Amino acid sequence: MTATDIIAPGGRPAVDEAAIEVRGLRRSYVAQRRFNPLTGFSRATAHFEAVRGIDLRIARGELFALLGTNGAGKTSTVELVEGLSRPSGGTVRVLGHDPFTERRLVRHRTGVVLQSSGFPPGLTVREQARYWAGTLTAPRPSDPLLEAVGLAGRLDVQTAQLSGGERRRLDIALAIMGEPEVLILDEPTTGLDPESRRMVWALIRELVDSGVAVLLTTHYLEEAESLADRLAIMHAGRIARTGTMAELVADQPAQISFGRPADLNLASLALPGARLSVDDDAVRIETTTMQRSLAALLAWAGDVQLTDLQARSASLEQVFLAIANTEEPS
Amino acid sequence: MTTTTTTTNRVTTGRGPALRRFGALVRTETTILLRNRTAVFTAVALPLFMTFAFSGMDIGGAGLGALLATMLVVSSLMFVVYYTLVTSLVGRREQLVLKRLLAGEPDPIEILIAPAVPLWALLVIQSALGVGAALLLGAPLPNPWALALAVVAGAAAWTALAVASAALTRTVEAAQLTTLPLILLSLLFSGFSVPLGALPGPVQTLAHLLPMTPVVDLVRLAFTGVGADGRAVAGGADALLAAGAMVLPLLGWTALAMWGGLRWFRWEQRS
Repeated sequence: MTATDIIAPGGRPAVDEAAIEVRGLRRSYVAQRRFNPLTGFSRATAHFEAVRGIDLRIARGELFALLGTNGAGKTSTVELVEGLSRPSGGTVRVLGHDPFTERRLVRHRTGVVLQSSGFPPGLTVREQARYWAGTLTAPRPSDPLLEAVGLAGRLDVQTAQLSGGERRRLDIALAIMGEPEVLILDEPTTGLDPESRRMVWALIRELVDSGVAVLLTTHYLEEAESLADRLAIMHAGRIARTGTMAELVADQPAQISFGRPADLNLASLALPGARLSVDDDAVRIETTTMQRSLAALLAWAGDVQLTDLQARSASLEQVFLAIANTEEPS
Repeated sequence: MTTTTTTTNRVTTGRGPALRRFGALVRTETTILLRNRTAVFTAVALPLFMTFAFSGMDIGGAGLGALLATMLVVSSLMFVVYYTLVTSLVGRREQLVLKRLLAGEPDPIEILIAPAVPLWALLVIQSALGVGAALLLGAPLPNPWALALAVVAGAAAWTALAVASAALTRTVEAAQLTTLPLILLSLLFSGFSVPLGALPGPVQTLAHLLPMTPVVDLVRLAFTGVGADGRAVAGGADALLAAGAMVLPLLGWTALAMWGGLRWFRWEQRS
């Protein structure tokens, strides 16, 4: 039996309707309270706005990755989409419903992997799976599911004894047990070894292929690059950049670098549309037309051997760092 | 092995799914409770200990049997239902179990009430033991239905109070402190550590509005047929009226505490 047999739920029609739609979403927390000794009630005196007006639209069969620096508001955003807290402003619609006020209409169609597993103490994997199945409207049989995430041999182990990777895989098995149409994964592969991570990625891809909409947050840029159809980078409570991978890196320059050659004159290197900078012995070129710049560079060098020659097209990491380094707008 | 994909009925209206869900929560809570030897021991031993410690007291002329039953019902409510539920809700919150459930299908109220159900079972068992002992000691039981009211309305009020207290309690350690005010108030003003008759009139009236005094009154009504004011109540309609006046404050506490608890409950510990 392969994971494919188990995970693909009899292909739902891909409808062009937003699975998740977020508009003008805001969330602020009380940062400070003042306690009134007369009335016994405390009053909020200061607020911190973690989410400052964001828009998202995620279609069925699409994987959307939400990236961001620490404290950018990712988890707050995800909790609002999960319906765990009420927005301070704006709207969230999951499959057309408000996940906070209309939880009964939404919950049986969504699956969630939280950052924390939240397994009660003293239960085995099998008991935890049975327990969770009991809370679901339409659970799938748990044994094949646990086998698909590689936990078949661990059924009678206490959840507290599981390794970080096993716990995460159990989390994911429970999240997809109710055959969700929308899956929300908050850092699902944090702490996993490379093999477990590949396993989880394969599972997620199959779910997306079968029409499930996935909202994923992650710290691993390569995870987003490998899985996401579209992504957004959050910074200071706002979405700094959003689009497909190609769109995100489009306005970032490619980079060429090499060791400064002693017997060539840099002034005679003509590179239209590129920016050249020299840092001690290293030369860096930022260009939007990498191939043309490379050709010009190689022609200029002629027979001279360039040391440490490297050429890289724009990467997600570059985009991410460019955003992370911008000053926080207040 | 092949997996057949069945078309599942995705409608959740009606009581079926909610009941099944609640049943699953209760089953797991019971398993967890029974596996926690310390919790079970505390839940069983504390009321028994309290009962022996206070069995020398005199509550308004009732015999030893009635006193034993009162003590068991009262201390069961306080330590088994109230205290255990506060600590288990706060503990589940620290373990982020509540957050997981909230992100799933169960409703908030189901999540908060499910851990109380096995505690209610313990309450019923201990109350039954107390009543059995009272009957063996020869205590008369003219109004047995008032005893059932005491247990049911008391369980409702003290479950709701536990939810409210858990909402105001940040850590499991803090629970020992946050549960103290209600426990002390109840011990002082329920009429079995300090006779209520010895208190000034207005204080007596207030005492009967507290969440434990009506429970004591109901148990006493069951065993002795005496009303809240200490005078004998004729059977039938008068006894029903008297019991109604005792149940009302309990219902008030249930509604108030549940409303506040649901409103202020934090599902995740914030640092």
